[in-house]
Amino acid sequence: MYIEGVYGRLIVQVVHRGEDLPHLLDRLIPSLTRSTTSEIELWALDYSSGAHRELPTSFDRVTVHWFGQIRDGDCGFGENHNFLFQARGTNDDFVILNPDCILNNGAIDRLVATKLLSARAAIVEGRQWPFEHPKEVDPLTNETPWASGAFALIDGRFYAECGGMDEGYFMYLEDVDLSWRAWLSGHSVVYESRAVVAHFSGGQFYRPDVISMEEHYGLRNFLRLAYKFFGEEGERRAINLLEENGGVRGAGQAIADYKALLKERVTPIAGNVSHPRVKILGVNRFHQLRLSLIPE
Amino acid sequence: MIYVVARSAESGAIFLDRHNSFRGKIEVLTGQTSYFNVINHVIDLCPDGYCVIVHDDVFLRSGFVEELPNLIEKLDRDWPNWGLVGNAGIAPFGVGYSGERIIRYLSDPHGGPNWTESVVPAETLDGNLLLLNIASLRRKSIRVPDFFGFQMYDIIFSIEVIVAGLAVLVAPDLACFHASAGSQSDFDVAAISDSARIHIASRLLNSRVMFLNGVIDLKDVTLQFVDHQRFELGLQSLRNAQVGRSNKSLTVVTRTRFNRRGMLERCIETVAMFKGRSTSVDVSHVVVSTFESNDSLSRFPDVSFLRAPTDSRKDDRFRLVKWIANEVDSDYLLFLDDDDWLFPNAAEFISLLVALAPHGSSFFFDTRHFSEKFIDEVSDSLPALVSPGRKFEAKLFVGCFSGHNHIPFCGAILPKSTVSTIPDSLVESITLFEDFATLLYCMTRESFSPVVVDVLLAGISIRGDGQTVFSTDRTRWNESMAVLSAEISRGVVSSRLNSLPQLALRYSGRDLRFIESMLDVARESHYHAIRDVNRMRATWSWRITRPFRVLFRAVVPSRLRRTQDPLR
Repeated sequence: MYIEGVYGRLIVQVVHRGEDLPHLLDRLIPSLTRSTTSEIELWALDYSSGAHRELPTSFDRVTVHWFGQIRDGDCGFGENHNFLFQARGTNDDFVILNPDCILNNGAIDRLVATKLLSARAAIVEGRQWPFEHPKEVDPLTNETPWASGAFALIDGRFYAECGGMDEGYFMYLEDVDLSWRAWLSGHSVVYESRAVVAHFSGGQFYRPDVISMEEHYGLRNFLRLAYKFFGEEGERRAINLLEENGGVRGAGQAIADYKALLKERVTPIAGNVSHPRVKILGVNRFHQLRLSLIPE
Repeated sequence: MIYVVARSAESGAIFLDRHNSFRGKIEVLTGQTSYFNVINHVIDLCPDGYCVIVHDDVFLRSGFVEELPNLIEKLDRDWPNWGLVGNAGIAPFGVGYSGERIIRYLSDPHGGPNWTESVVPAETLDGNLLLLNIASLRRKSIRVPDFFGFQMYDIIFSIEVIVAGLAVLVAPDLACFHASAGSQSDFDVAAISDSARIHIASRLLNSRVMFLNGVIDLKDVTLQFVDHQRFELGLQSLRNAQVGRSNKSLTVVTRTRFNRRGMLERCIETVAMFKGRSTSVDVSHVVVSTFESNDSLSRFPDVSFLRAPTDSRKDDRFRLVKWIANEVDSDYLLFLDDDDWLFPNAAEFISLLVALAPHGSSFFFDTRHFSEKFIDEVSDSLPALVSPGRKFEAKLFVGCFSGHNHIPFCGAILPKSTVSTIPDSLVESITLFEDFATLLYCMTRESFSPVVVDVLLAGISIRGDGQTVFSTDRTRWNESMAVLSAEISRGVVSSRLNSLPQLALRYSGRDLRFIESMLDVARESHYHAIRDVNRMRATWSWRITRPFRVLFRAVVPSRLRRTQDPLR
């Protein structure tokens, strides 16, 4: 554990678009200072193209390291976060945070405290408000099969040892991939419900007449994840899940894209993956459901 | 110039005779094989800045041509980015008591006009009559694909105009009679054309597109274009319509006693997020109270904290509604309790709606209850536990006329000009149900113009403790309802529309009774048929002849028996 890094100066990584800057400046960064008593280093990266205003280099207790687009063309979520991690050149633990969040008071300190108590924890995930993810959480250990990348504390040494996020997903499900690799390497993934972040995630706002990028990438990457961890059999079962009962919306295109663009670049994990936390129970469902959290 | 697309020289001549007073301005186009080509031809060659394209079975009213310059002047002034205008189409939002997205300013065999007065942004238009801004269309190099035939040209033309960045509108000034219902079967065939669907899918993010005759389903083709730059039709239609227009103003009003500081901070943060994403409405947030404000809220410099005068003998909640409506300078008001919050996700869409809907509209949105448990209800901003609960749907707003409130206060954006005229007598006589009384008052004004949007606007905290709505002693609520009922009955917040829900129930009940009676008839017929068959099987003649039937089935192959079927 690298608690020295965490406590001395707390590191937060955010990748954002230029249009997120007003929210970062007016809401997210002020909430950062209320979420912890530590000094904060904010490592931020604007992945959108074009010239954008930079973040100021300091803001109250927050020191800012800001980067523009790392290369021409689109860079994915994992690639951008890996860049920030490598740019730092240390293996300190860090908080990963979506740019459209507002942290509750003391939220990061609660993540840190939980990580100190969970020796094996590679990832400690906070709770999202108002729509908490309805995934299973062990009532005794607070362990959970996977952690969302919207707000979580990540063990820096684990991140370095596992090579960071798998950049092949581009967007969506790289957090599940990272969580599964944590479990398979002997670490744990822990949920801290007292560390709360306001995050108005899109799921409840998807329109029935528009297929979102998240939906498409989610389905495509679902196949990639299944193939990577469970091989040809996993891929076959994932395709069956997409196609059964008349097919999931957008399944055909997702399967075609996966086969044309992704599959040949994936190397399945050798041997049979067998771990009670690493499981596929449905399309993009890697957990039992807590029904009380699902809107009617 | 008015271009008439005529099926024959004869029908063109009939159109000219019918509109003899301005036949000099009419050019009849005959022998066409493609309405798409007509549109491209007109854009290329029309000598004027504006023109109209009509079907030959349209009846224009007298004065149509004389009044056209007035409409163009109005469009240039109020909708400077306009490109295409029709008299019927699909709006990105619902209007009227039915929350209808179809706007009709015409009569045809399907029906008559269903809306009045206002120019409304549209996603797709009906092509019976189209007014083209030729100069703008040329400036944007807009053309339609050279498909054959006379179907879908209007939908594709509307989409091309929106994708190119111009506004598509429906205007009452173009009202006419169209003596054709169109051919639904022709349309249904065209709607499954792969060429048309692929063309539309390459332009739009939408997986289905609505138009007057139905829906075009793009689900199976839309993801082929996932890497293309595409637009969400409704949002882009509104963005284009707003170009060159001024913003409206919206004041979010939060009434508080400063006894739930954490939740109030949460409320303020979410309003700020909503404000940050609102592009076309100037949003301000006013926190109003009869109590002293809390010093810790000084970190919100953009929020106005107003202290209202109080009458300490009485609950002030309704008085604050009226007081703030007279205090702020704003087009619209949204009342958000200090334990409610706004969802910022659809802020741009909502701000465009508010900016573009007819002035003085009342807007209804979806809201949802959330059961919350706080460790410290005074200072905590976010709850220790939360689970989503009941959803209140905007489209049910008309149910408020039934005497029961169907719309939480935070689910409505109301015109300030109306709220400010709530009679003092009403304000002074009602304590609780002030939200319902305010809604009913707005809904029963002559100027009431509802806009219905099925997006989630606000979350409502349900905790049980400390919320008056859960108090077991209903005396104060019952007293308020007694007053409200009396006020409705006396006509202060009333109109004849109060009978509307009852009427709807009666009609729907009549439909149900009709279906039940049909079911009874079917059941009875079934019963009689079975009884008759059984009677026949019981007769001696049927029993005696049974061996012959058995023999027939055994000897004659089933294939031959099937071929005999038509002969029986």
